[in-house]
Amino acid sequence: MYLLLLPVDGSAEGQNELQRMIDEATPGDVLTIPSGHYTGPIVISKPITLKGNGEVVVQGNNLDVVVYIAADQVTLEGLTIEHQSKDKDTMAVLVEGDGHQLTGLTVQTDGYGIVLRDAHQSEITKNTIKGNAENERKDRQNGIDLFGSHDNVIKGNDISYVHDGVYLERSEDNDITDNTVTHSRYGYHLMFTEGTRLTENISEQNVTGAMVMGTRGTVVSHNQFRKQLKHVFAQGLLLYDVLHAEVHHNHIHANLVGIFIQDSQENKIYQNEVAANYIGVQMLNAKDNHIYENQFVANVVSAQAQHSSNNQVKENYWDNHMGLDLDGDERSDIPYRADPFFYTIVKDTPAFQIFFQAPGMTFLENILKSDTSLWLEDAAPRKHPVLDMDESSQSVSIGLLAFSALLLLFSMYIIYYGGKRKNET
Amino acid sequence: MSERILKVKGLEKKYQSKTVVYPIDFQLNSGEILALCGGNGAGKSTILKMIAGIVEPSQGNITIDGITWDKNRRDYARKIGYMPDHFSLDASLSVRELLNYYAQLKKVPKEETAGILDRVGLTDVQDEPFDSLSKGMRQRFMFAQAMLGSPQLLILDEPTNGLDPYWMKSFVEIIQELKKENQSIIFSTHQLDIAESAADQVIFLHEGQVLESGELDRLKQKYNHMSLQQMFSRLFFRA
Amino acid sequence: MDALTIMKNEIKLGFRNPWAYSFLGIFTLLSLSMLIIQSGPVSDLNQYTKTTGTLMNLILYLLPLMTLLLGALSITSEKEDGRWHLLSTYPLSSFSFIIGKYAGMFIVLTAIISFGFGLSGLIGSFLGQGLSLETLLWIFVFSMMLILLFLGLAVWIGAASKNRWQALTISVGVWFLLVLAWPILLIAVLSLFPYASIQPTLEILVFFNPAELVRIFVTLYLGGGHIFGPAYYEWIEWFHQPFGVLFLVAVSMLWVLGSVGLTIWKWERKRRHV
Repeated sequence: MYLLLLPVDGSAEGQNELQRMIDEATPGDVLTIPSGHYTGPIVISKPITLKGNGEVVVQGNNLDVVVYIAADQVTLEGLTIEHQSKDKDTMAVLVEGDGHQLTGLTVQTDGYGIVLRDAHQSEITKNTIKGNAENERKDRQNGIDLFGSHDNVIKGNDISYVHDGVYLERSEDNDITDNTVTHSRYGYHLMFTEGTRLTENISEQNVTGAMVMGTRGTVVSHNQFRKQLKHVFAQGLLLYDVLHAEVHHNHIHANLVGIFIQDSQENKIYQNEVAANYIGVQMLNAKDNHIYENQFVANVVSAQAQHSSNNQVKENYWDNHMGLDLDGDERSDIPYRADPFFYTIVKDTPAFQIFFQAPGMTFLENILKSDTSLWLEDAAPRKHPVLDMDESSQSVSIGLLAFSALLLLFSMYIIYYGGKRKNET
Repeated sequence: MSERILKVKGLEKKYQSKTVVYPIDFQLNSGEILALCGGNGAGKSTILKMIAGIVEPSQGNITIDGITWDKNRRDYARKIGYMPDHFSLDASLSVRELLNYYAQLKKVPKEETAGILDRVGLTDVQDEPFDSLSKGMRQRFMFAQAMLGSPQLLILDEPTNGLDPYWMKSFVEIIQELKKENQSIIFSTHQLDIAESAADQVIFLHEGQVLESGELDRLKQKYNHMSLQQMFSRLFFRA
Repeated sequence: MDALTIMKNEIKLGFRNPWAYSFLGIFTLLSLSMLIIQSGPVSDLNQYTKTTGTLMNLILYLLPLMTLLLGALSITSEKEDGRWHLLSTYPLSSFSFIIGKYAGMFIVLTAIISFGFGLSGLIGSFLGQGLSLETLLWIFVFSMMLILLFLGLAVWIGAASKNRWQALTISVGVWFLLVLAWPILLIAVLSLFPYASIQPTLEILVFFNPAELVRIFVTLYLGGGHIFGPAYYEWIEWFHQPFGVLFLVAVSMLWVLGSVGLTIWKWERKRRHV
């Protein structure tokens, strides 16, 4: 890799001090770096451990890569890496080789955070990665970026203000768990991966919580995808061209679209809690998926689907469904169906989306029931919620009480004033 | 002492091609009472509405105390009190509430309303809702609202319609009193005995045209002291 | 001053009218439904939730119709019953009269919705049912705006109608057109238009339908603007700027002033044409 060496404003000793220590170490050494500011680029080409003692800051100004790991078995611990660059396609940390451990790093980057290229069996844990909040999303790069890297563990990282939080492409059997991504484009972005386990992560206030595309055998479970709202394409979880995924026990709350499933087959989606989204689940050309025991609560619209009648949808709880259970099996004998009417119109002419929840539109849907055999249908929806909702604590609101009382007093006064016949002169 | 209050000159009303009131002239001094007499469709009501400013004349002009409606309708309106023949008031209000409401719109102090209610004998029912009143009482109420603010000219459309004999007599007494207070009154009636007992001037109308008009005394002389009823019959058959 | 007298009288009449109480009953039932709608996890980022969405929908069915009927019939009956006849001999301007009627009916309608929301809010705050102050406030603002705009339309219908029957028919017709038929009508008609002209047409037509105007803009400021999709991205961003807010306030004011102004003009023109 070609590296640019540009002068930085650090002291002359600081400039090469760290690299000199690394160059002088022998494989297997544990180097404890005294606190201070060091300038990159740093290249590590032997299996050693670098531990920060106190505040160890490695700075790079307009470098292609600030810290470059070009060997196996390297451990980085407790370092701060500051990467300033005008070019977003540059990297704070580039990792090649296998069996690394990067832990407790603080990365502030104008480009990529931690990049793995053909790097396997490594652990990227408990790092904090922050992009440049002043740049627009499209002018940032990914927090953790894997390409052709297998069997890695990415755990407990805290990522914000980047492009995609954790990005995986053509990588297999990686574990992504317990991470948090906020204020970025996609929280977790899987492209053409196999056997990825995306578990117990949090994504908040990104455009999309988890974007899963062209993957095989993905597990998405126990994640929380929340508040993906502030974008016209916002969604909690997107499955596109996905085969054999298991999506379960996720909390998908307050997104523009909770789950969007397109051109995906033979996935199992169960026991998720999809709540308070504008649209709970949206399906387009999805077939042979098993969707069961999910809970759809307090979504403005529970489900929209087109060309998605051939899925096994059953025993979900839909709070807007008027069910009827005659045989006492806790399942409604009236199926739940998602009317594709509005969705179809909008697919053809997106401008008509302005009629979302227009009273005339809902009125129309109710009187024009077209051929329901082509609709997404839950044949035996549950009568009662599957899972306990974790309601946020609802205390008596003084403001609400006061405002309501005020309204009531006002109306009483007016009614009294108007309605009462005054008999006194 | 007596001044011209109402001047009507060449007043005419046409609806499309149909003439309802043919050109008519008359005048009224302060403290005078004029009765418009005639049957249904004679044009009495239309003339009164034109004077009240509700209906726009097709021709001619009306001056009240030197003011025309077109020139200053607010002042014009302050000089008149109008009693319509057909009405339906907000039935749910009490008599007093309703009169107070009209008094407020005429900027008449509330205290005055009690006296007026007393004058038309509605004090006892002042807290009753308007719709519980008999036809005669409603008629008296409408008379009361016209009197609010002692306007210089009272315009009364069939004021005695539906009144019992007692109140008919009272009506005549009241307008005689108002006359003494120097108010002028123009009213329409098909009850000629009322006109005879109250009016200074009389105009007989038939199908929009004046059959006869003049001061009551002069007419009496002219027609050998006939009653107005007899006079009207004669004029009517001649017409 | 005269307007104030007319207004006070209108308030009195409003609450001696059985209509007012039936509306009060229906509206209270409707607003109590906000205690039943499950609100789910609440996000601090937006107030556009199932509760607000569903309530807005329900209110849009009822409140414009209520306002149109109450407003139009009240104005027409003044003429039909001859009360205006009498009043027009008073030193009272058409301006004061219509403004007074409008203000009085606005207060009556506001009192009706205040009762419904107040009662529901009070019950809600004791039940701790997840109803928030913000939700109630926004729904209240939403309803007030509907009343303001539709009342303008109502008085105009009242002034233009010859009798109650006509006022009733026109009111129901206008409600049907603006609330129920609007989307399907536009979808049907605009489908014949060149594709590129559909969205600009829709964006302009929003300002010509008070129901849509209020619905879309309250949704927008509740934080739900993105639901209208990528096509409206820039449009929505624009309305989030201070100038956008100002523009909306101006359009709403134009609606009220325009319709009330036209009513006064019409009323005045008919003053002496019986």
